[in-house]
Amino acid sequence: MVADRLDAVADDPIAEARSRAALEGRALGLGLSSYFPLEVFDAFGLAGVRMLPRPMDGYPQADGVLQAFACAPVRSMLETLLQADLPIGLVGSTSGCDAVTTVPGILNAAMPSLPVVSLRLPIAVESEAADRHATLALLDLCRETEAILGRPLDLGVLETAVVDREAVRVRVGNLFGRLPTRDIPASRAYAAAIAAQVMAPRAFLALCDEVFPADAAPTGTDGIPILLSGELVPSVQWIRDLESLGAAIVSDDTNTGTRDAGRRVRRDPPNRLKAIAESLMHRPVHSPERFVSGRPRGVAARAREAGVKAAILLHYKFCDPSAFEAPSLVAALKEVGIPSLVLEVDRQITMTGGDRTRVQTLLEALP
Amino acid sequence: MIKLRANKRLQTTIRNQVLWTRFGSKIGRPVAWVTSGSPVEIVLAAGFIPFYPENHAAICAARGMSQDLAEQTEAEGYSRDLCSYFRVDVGSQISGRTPLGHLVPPDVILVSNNICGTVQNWFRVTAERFNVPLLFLDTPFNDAAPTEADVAYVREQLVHIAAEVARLGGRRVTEDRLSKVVLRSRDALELWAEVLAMAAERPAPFTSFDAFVHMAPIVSMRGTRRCISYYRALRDEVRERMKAGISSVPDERARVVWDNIAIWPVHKQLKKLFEQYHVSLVGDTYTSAWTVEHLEPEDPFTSLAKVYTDIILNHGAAHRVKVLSNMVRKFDATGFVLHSNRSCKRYSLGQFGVKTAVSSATGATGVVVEADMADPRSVSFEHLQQRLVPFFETLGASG
Repeated sequence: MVADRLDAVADDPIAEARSRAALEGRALGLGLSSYFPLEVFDAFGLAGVRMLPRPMDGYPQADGVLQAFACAPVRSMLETLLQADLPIGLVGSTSGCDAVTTVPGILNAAMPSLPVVSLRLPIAVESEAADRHATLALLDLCRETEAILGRPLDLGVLETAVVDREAVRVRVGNLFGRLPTRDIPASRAYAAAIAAQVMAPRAFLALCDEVFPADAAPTGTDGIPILLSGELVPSVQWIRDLESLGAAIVSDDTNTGTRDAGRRVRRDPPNRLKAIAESLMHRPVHSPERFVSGRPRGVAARAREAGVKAAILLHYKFCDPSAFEAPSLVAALKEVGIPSLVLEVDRQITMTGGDRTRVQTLLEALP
Repeated sequence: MIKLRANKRLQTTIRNQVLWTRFGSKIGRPVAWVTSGSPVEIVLAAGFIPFYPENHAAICAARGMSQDLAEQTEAEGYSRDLCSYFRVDVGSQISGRTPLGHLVPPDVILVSNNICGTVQNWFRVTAERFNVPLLFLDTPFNDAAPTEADVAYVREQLVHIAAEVARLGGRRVTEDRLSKVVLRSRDALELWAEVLAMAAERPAPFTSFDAFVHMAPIVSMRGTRRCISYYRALRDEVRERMKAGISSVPDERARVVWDNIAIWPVHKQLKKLFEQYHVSLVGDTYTSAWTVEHLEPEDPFTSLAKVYTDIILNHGAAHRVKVLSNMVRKFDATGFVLHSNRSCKRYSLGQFGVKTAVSSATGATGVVVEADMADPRSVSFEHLQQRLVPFFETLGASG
């Protein structure tokens, strides 16, 4: 079954990244944050993939270089890198939250031979100065990458990669756009979103064509319509667990889902790098680690439009941006009549018993 | 042990500053709440009175008020894992309780992310609470020195901020007026640097335990004449002590340097522990952050852009290794303490690698201690003692 293939990729994206590198005969270009522009790595001849948390019992190596008060996704990514069992050509990070911002320095100290570049994107948005600086930051990143890899950015490949990556984001965005009408189960949309981060773009699109044929009958789940907000979803299994409790995600505000999928690269300006930089600055659905005003109200408005009855705010322990945002998001949702539940997750991949009870209580309490 | 005369002067200075803020606000001077790494020179040149919530949180913590205040913020749904300065300060806003009598509300807030990402969220919450404009200075994080593009980007924002503070109730910020404030800042920073440098003497006439307390004016009053006068007097007194061979720690047997913010809930206990073991805390990366060079009044906007982008916390681990190693050498220390501060990810994450690298570069012994700058629930003096006493003994110091 093609759907099984999608689930397999989503259940172990790191394994997919490894086999992709072997298949394509290219080293991996790992983007550490959700808004690292992988098309640039593609254009440098790397297999651009997003580094995602993987199921693991603990972080024995990461714990040796990073305190435990960093969030589980950062610790998990660091653990994967330190295990040094991936064919990595380059690691790319972006400035963002304090934990992610410190990772390149930690890697440089712990693995001096691992090349790491940082995209120093402005945190401020909505200003021309920030837009200009984002372009310069991307140019710096390209220069640094060229110096490390010893080969230039291939503008032809960049053009193709921009088109292909955008097609992937559009496809993922469309899948999440189908959630309110319950055409597809949310777990399948998240599986696709995770697979999109690691598969070769065209292979992903081909797989999607098979898993989500245009003429397929609706296969969505029944359940109470909810909004899911947060950084990364822990796993597709976590979503399945949520669905099994009678929740149907009809609106998404996660980094795994719509936040990254909303990015669009303008095709008209001749400077493609400028267009990529601006696409990062003008993403319509930002993560709270960027300095965007009015985000909670925007999320609440979208949730209301999708007809949600309740919201689940997925908060990783020690994730500062979402911890800061949670109270204002709860308040904004309350203003539009949507009750919410903040679930704090750490390194678990499936939903804990305590969280199951909390979700059940929320759903049962709804009128 | 001979106490610093400046301790009393500090109390008076802080009290006068608080009174001046209240009085100034009453006679119509606008008040700007600013982060410790904000270019305060601009708001001063615009005629605003600056107020520092971080300093305020530290005072609350040193006075034993932090847990109650933090709990007020947590009751509003904010996680206990967030920065304790944020939780203490917002708790004070919610409850109205403060050791300063009462807080003068802001007319504008100026925040820069050169010290951490937390402040941009903290002050957004604060700006919404007081319904006042929030001005944000975005300073690109860099492992090396700021690039020309970084400086240009920050400079452009500074010019915009100057225009905004003038529009929001201040005076027009002319280059001439700004230059004068920058010059006063530079004078104060140089005096503060002189004070800290004297800890390199043997025995150290001044330690970081003193510096943590006497840094208050350089954070909250730089750019003013009062600040210069304060540090001139402190410099003269420390110089006297140095000449007279007065030691801050009796019978100094070991010298160590410190990384990160002080542990305010047990500050006095820790100071005593160091004294008991005859260990001088001769330098630290925190208070020396206000000894920046190259603040030039000739082109104040460009100079401020360079200086405020080049702050230690706006750099990665490699820079920290360099700073700490230089400090170990400069102060002739044989050990260093890394405070793994649960509240400050930007300052703390990656310290394990920093420890190894500094030890390897200098031969000094390092220790990581876990605590929190302000939340007593995350601080155990006993735990600190268990880590520090064997460390002191390794350095040849005993109680």
